Amino acid sequence: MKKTLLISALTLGTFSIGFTSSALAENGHHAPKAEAWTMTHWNQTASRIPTGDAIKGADLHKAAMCMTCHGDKGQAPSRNVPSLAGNTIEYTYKTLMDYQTGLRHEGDGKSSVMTAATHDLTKQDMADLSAYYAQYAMISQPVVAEVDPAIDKLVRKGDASRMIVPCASCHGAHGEGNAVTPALAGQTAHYFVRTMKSYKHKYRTNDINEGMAQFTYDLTDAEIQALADYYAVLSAK
Amino acid sequence: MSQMTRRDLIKIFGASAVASTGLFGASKAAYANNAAHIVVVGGGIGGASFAKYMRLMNADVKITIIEPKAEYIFCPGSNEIFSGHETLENLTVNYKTLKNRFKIDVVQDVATEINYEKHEIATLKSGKIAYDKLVVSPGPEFVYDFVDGYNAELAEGDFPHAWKTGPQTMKLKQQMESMRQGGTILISSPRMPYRCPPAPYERASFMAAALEKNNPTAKILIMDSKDNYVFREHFEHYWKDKHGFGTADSRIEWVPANKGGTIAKLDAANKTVTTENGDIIKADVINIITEERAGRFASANGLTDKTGWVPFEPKTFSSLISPDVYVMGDMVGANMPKTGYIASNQGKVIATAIDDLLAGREPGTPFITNNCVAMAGEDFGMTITATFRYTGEGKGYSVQERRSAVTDNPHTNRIRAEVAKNWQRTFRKDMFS
Amino acid sequence: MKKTILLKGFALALLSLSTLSFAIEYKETPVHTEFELSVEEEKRIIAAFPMPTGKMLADNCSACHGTLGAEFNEAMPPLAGMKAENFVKLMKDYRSNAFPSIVMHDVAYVFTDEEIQAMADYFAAQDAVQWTQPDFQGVN
Repeated sequence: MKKTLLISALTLGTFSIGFTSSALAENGHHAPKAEAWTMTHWNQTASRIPTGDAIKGADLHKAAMCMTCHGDKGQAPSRNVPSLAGNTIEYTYKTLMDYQTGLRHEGDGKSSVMTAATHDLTKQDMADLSAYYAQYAMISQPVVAEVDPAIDKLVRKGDASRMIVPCASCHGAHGEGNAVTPALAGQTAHYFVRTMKSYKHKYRTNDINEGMAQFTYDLTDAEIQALADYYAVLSAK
Repeated sequence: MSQMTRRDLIKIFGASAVASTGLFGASKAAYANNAAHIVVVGGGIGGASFAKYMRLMNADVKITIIEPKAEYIFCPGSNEIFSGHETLENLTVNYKTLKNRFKIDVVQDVATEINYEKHEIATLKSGKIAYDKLVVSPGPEFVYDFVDGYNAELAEGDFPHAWKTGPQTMKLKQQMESMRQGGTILISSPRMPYRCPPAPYERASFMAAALEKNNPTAKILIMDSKDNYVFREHFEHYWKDKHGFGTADSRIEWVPANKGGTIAKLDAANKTVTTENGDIIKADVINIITEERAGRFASANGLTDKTGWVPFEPKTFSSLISPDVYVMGDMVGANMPKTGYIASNQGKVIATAIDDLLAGREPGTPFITNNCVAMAGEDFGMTITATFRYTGEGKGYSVQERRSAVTDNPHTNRIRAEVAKNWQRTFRKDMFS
Repeated sequence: MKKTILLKGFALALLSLSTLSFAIEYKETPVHTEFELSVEEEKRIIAAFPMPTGKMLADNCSACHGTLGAEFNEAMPPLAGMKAENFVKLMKDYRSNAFPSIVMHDVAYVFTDEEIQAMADYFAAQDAVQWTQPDFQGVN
């Protein structure tokens, strides 16, 4: 934890998250534990996602108060919340399900508000919302600095020595996402960092077969921040 | 970044140069003999807020809190203990961070007498403590004599009021849980002012949630000494939906003062209460929420007026007796509700005023809000936002208040409840960490 | 003339029909309080005294947004280090209800443009570092 604070203190415009045990303990909610996904189970579920109605999704995005945090058309207005625009229907649907069942519950106030927000959504509601957000694309942030070639390499070639596959191999050459893998291009940098750390510290465990988490264990905090900055300025097109 | 942050300043000038921001604790000057000494009576929400924010503004002062207890248990959120959604442990905080991080001394003792001339505060076992500024935030005192036959002993025994989170809360919970099937809980809601106006109804609501599961034929009878209460529309809306409110079978019944809700007498031996109209009501569990006034510390030290509350100078909250003694929290007679939120923001106003005065500046315009989120259930929250602007006339402040609309949008209601939980946690952190 | 009116009426009817079939209607009842200030009275009070400092205004926000706006782990967004222009835009959108909110419309309602700018400048100058100190609670 201390190391994290020191590194982020040295980098302007960054922050550190205090995932101390007290942050978990303070969250009085005990979400129901759902069974971890298997690929088979997910494929079955994915094949049964109802056809979503984006117009109904637009209404629900307002009525279910999603817009208040996630912004107009799913473009996050504040820096610590993810943008939802441009994610695949599969990914958004799965995320809503995982919050509702409690499988995704990082232990902070943001995940407990998501559990509350998804509580009264039907499967059709989730499909409608997913269809709505899938219509748009995240708006990439303006470029402020040169991309570190080491990070570019990590994204495109991975790192065999740490058994890290290229990010692009799942997340797409332009960070546009694919099937159940989320879009990253234009994503809020703070949310990216928080999510990577949630995987790394095993607060987030809703990925299939640790499909994402496994790659975070050996990433340094500096690399995570650099990846966040890399993707924030990327355009999905 | 176009603006220099404190971290930039520290990198360039070193920590001591920016110590006046106070974030890293006390400076060397704070330990010098001639450091200004600010003493705080009471380490609750008011005192702790004041002390921490005083330190954030000024690293060069010595700050001492005099507080009898080693820990503080929060009231916000405590009604959820009845439904099992909250625990005493989760609401308990200690003074470690105030001591270690902010270098605030905490003397575990009882403050007794103020010597205004000598600028000294006497304590039970720690002798006399000299102060340059004294901030008094001891909280209210519970008044029992408005109900004939009720007293502090009974409250500590079989008739807990549980208006200060702690053993009485657990006793009342245990009474509710061991009540016979189909029994009645009587909650007497007092006249204003009392701390946290919506809380008696929150309590009824969370008790009803527990009864619904474990004692579905039991009833809650709210006997009110008032004709109306804040969030009444919200509570009734929720109770209609969940508990059949308004029907003959309702789990919750509310009797306002104008329909005979005011109770006058308690017969502890027979577990009955008698209303002002002479009606005798028997109940299995009797929870009489008391009236309040400024505590003995305030009246013994001449701070109270004939209303039983403490008057104050509205711009800085200094007392009318001495400009170096400041008064705040539930005990003051302000046109503000008695809430922790208000106390904590009053503490910030006082800290700012003292910081200004110590630096030879005229204190600026104060500003206070009371933005609270109450809950009727884990799935139903409601908000109130009140703004108090300094007017310099009358009670010193104007009041503007807005309340959330009553909606049957389940998403809004549930997210509001979640926002309530979020603010409870952040609120605890805001003064104790 | 008649044809145009008929067509317009038809188009309008279609429009309202489509709204009806897709808009989610929840019953909402506003709650009034006796604590209101007229616009004139509010202006008079604000003009009578120097504006409260950005810090005085902004420290009122800490119960939800954290000390110095630095709470990153809760639902409410952190304000520490937020770009001033973003803060101003959001607060003005909340104030006018152009952007939906749970409670922020009611909170932003009372502030003047100058007060919003003052708070924006205050928060922008705060470090974007999570405010947490783990030893203030007895358990865990």
